[in-house]
Amino acid sequence: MPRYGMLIDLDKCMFCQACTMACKSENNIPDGMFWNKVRAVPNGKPYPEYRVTPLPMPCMHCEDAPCVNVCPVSATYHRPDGIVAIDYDKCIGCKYCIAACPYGARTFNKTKAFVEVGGKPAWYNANVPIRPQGVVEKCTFCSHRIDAGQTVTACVQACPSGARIFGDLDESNSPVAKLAAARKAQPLRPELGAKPKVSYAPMMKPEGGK
Amino acid sequence: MAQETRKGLQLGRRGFLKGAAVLGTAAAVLGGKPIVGALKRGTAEAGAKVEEKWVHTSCINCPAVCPLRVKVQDGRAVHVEGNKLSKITDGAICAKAHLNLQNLYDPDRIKGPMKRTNPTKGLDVDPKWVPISWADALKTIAEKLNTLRNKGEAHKFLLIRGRYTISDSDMFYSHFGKAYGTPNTISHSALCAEADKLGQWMANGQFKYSAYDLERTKYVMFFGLSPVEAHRPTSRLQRMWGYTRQERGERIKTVVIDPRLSASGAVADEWIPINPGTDGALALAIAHEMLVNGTWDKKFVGDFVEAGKKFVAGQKVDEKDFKEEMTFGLIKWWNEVLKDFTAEKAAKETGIAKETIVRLAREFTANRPAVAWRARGACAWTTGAYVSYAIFALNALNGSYDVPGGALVHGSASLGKLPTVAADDLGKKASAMPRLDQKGTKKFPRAEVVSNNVADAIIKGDPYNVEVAIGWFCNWNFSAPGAPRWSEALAKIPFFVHITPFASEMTQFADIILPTGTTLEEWAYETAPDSNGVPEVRIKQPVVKGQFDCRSMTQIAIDLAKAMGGYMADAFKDVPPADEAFVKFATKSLMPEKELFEEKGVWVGPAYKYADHEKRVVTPSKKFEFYSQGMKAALDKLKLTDADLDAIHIKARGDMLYLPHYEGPRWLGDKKDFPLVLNTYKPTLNSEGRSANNTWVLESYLPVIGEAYNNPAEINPVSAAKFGIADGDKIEIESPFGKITAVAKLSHGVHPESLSIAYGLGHKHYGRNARGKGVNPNEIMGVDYDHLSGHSTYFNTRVRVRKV
Repeated sequence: MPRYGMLIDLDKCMFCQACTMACKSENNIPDGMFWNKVRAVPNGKPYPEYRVTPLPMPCMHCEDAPCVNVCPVSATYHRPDGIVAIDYDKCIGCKYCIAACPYGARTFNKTKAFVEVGGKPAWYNANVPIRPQGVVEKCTFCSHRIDAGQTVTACVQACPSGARIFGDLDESNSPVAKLAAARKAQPLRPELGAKPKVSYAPMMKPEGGK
Repeated sequence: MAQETRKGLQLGRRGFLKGAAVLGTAAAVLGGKPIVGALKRGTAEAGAKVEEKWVHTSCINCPAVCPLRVKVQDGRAVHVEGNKLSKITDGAICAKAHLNLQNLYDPDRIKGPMKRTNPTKGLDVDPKWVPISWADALKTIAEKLNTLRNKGEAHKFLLIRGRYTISDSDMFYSHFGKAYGTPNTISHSALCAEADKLGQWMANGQFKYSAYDLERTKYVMFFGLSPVEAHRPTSRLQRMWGYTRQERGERIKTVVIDPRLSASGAVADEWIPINPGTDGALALAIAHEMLVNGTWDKKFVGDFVEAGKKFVAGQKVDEKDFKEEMTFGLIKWWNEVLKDFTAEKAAKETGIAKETIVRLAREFTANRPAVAWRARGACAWTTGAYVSYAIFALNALNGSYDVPGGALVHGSASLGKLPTVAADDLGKKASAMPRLDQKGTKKFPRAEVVSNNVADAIIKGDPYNVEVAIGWFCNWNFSAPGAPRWSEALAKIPFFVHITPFASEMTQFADIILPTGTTLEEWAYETAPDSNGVPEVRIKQPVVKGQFDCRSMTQIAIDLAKAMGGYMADAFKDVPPADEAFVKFATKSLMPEKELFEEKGVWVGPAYKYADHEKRVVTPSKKFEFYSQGMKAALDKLKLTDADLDAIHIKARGDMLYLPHYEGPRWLGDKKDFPLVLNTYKPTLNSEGRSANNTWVLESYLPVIGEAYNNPAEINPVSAAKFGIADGDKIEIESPFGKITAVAKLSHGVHPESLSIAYGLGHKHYGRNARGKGVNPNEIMGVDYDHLSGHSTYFNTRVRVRKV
């Protein structure tokens, strides 16, 4: 059984938000909600040393996932391939998982989605359910694509610079595992102990340019 | 809240029961394979069979016109991907391509032809639209056009082109416009990149965008552009960003020179904030450094006849002492401009440390092939064409011209052409009339078009009044500097037709609206913009059935000519009868129809042949000119006097007029009264304004500063403190031309002398989501030009701010 994970290369990411848009389209995400937002991390220095770094934030699909641990009804669970999934039939909307998630990956469906267009937009993807009011949702690593035999998520497919790599972390020859090792990729806040399966390769320096 | 949650839960449970009944059959058909997915509750499609297919088309959200593959489920477009067969995009698409879905299904699109019933025109006046049939709309327009033409006044017909497909342009702008006979076919080009183009034209005779061999470049200096955010072709630049950093082996170095920390500046290896409008000084100092250090490319440029001779700062060189190879005019450039343009001098102008300038020149020459890339941030200024010339010339000086990894000249594709029409007497007479925009006159000596000047011509009725106008995919009373002038001008046009999918600010002044489709519904062809040198043709075809009662631009031209009858119908008698037939006619020589439209979606031209100078350098000397003989001939012909040059704010005289040089920015507004410089920028998602009503756009509009649904006024905290402004304050921004009120956002990513506002919000129209969010900086921007090219300046308006 594979153990799916993702590497995001911050040397290639550039605030373009193609991942965000592809995700909205692929996963029928209502306005105001994101499964995959690109955040800006400022360096805190004044002009002209000021810089911001893009930080795309999908669900980290943690191995020791706080959201799974706190869910009182086991609506949030690990699939055998390690993807953290939500069973919308079981979710009672208690939002414990939202409070528990250190990465802010989860959103609550406070209102009914897409009411202004009769419950679903014309561009909705029939392979992904529109979530009902009252449940929590988040990035699924496009599990519907994986289950249909596709090898990459919509964001990975859409990333124009190739900043995202998806695959089996346990297969040492997989591009995601190889690159994570070569680039010394790190997850966000590893000290929290959630063992995220999304890791980030750092921005690099040019070889020439001296 | 608890009740709401509870209610949601109950609803969900009912949904679950319903879903459970059909779970057993939850297998959808995808090319014969079942989709086993999370199809449980919450979707009516659970258990239903979904017919899925992919259809080729191309994007129109910027001039890159990238080839797309669109996923269609049961006749609905649901997802967009790139086309891997394209050598330019390598299968990549940018964020804008996804927006086509929201555009296609936007509830606020125009659903059929409309006519106004309220004769009073104004931005805030309800036109009181009523629907009319296509037949009635075309008949009305045809009568207006015929009446005007038969009076011998075809020149009083204005045809305005905003964004366009190449097929629209060939059919409407060229064939229809030429047949009718008006000289006034006005494109938006001088709101885009005419100064950039003219700079290149002076150097190599090519009046077009520049292409760059990014795959092989080792070092790029970007002057006044945000390559991965708002430059064409976005998808290619973004693909190459990843490729040149982590895929090809040797990692590129990128330097972004811009007064504002753009998305590209943020992720580049180096961001160099520069004093607004001084990019030309930096380029000239780099050229100076290259010459005095002896690091120019001797193979391309040439060398001193006598070994050991050098360029020494401040000292002239005898032209006889230097033998040029592929270039012309280096010594004139040195003697007149470069010899005194030291790093020290440029440091004072640009605010960039002298050491940094020296280092940039060293890095540029030590990391060949290296490219100096320019765009409107550097060039959309008064005398911006010379800035463009100076920056572009660095590539030749560095030997990065028409070589692997250098600046290239993009190839062109050969498409089926419409038969040329012999003009009748009415057409001949009209086309000889002076144009409204004054291009090619002493005011705009080497302009191809002066888009923004047309508003003033209409307002003044000079040289004559416009009687009938048709505009398509344009919104110039929103997008042009001095936007309110356009509202005034449009209100003066007796009969205006707007062809657009959305009712924009410009549509408010229409007498008739003709709705056109979005890119996923239309037949068209496109040629790729200048990028990697290799020509490409892309096609557009309806991926789904048209949403509303729309027609393509091409179809409208054909239908309108037919409705006009007589000479115009005659001029179209050999034109294929419908858009689909025309698109297939024009592309039929490329490959079999089925292969192009069903299997490939793109035609890729032959590989680029480097150093083909005969084709690529078409100047009078057949050399890359540092002294533009083309410009000299153009200006000589007009016999410009000193007074003429003064009137168009050009300080140069004599040979300087034909050399890459620097005059500095001309400000609109006194520095003392207006201490800040208004700097505007285009975020990726803006899509040249056509995504204004997209919720996906609004909620993610400005990722670098973390703002959505708003475009605040970004001010450096040091400057803000001077004016007593705190983060989040409501402030009034006043230029000599007007005032707007915005929210202040303090940002260390803004030059202390700048006030930055993202373009694209501040709509009064364009749809329910677009209306009433943010501000439009073009309302307070002054009108000025790079007079040589006719390009509108976008960055030289000064403003003052106060807390409201």
